Amino acid sequence: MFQPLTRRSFTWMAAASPLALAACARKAAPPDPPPVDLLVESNGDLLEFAPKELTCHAGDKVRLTFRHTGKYVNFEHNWVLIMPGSFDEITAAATAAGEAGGWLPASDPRMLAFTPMCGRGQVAMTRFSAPKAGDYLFICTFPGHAQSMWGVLHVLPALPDPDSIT
Amino acid sequence: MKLWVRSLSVLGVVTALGLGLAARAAEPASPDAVKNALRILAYVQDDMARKLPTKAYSRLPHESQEFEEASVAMRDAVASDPPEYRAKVEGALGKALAASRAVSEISKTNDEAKISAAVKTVDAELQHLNALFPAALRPVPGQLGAGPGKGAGGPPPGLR
Repeated sequence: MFQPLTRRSFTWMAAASPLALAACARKAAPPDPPPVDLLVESNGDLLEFAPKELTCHAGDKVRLTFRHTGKYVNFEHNWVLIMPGSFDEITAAATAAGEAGGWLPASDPRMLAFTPMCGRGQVAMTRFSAPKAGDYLFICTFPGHAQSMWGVLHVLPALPDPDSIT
Repeated sequence: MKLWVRSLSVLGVVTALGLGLAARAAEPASPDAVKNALRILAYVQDDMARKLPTKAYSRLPHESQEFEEASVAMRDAVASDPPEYRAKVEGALGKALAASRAVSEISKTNDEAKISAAVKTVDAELQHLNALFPAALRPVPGQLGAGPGKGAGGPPPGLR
């Protein structure tokens, strides 16, 4: 049912229209950049990661997928990114956390990202912002595994913002 | 050419051919699968041995179970080989498995010396199993590869 416009509502509409148009015309905020996808697997039944080296840029929004590709041995594995210089403390704390704690010192700030433990054929994902440029260890924190199950995430300097390039 | 020289040459060629055939016989039908299985067993044994310095004896039955699971990879790896070859492998594997089960049992005693000796026996039996295969397929003890993430010694000091 349409109502006839009164003079007052017409005046309001006339005043509001330019504002509404201006709001629509304003440049939309740039969408978030797509995440950087990284995939890492256990090397079959060997206590190794494959690949052993990953690369991203500082500040990247990383979406990391970890896949346990073991076939024979019922190993449990996870993927944990740690701060440089914290290998011995993190592995000791993970063992101390025990099975009930998922073999993870969950509140330790030196763990930059982690997945839960996976069994054969399982897949887990974690998201994190890449830290500042440098080399970071990633390990499996199941007791003993990190001695051979480790790799390096090479974080390169941040890429320049495309909008800042003229 | 004198007869004895000719005979010696023929004997030499026959011996060389015989040795070549013998070497070929030691080559399994699926070398990649054998290499992988030997490495899995070596990793599990390595992991077992790493429980000693920290006296994590309660983890040893778990390691023994993993050794049992890894043995299936070895049996699968030689499944296409002749029965006599498989029997030889099965014999050595059986001894390694028996040694691994003994570790599981002895771990309950918490006796450091006995446990250490039992773990060493697993290593020795594993070496006998390795010896059945060409050197190129055997894992190098303590160095299961090279480069980041390989080798049983953990990350280098600069990265730890």
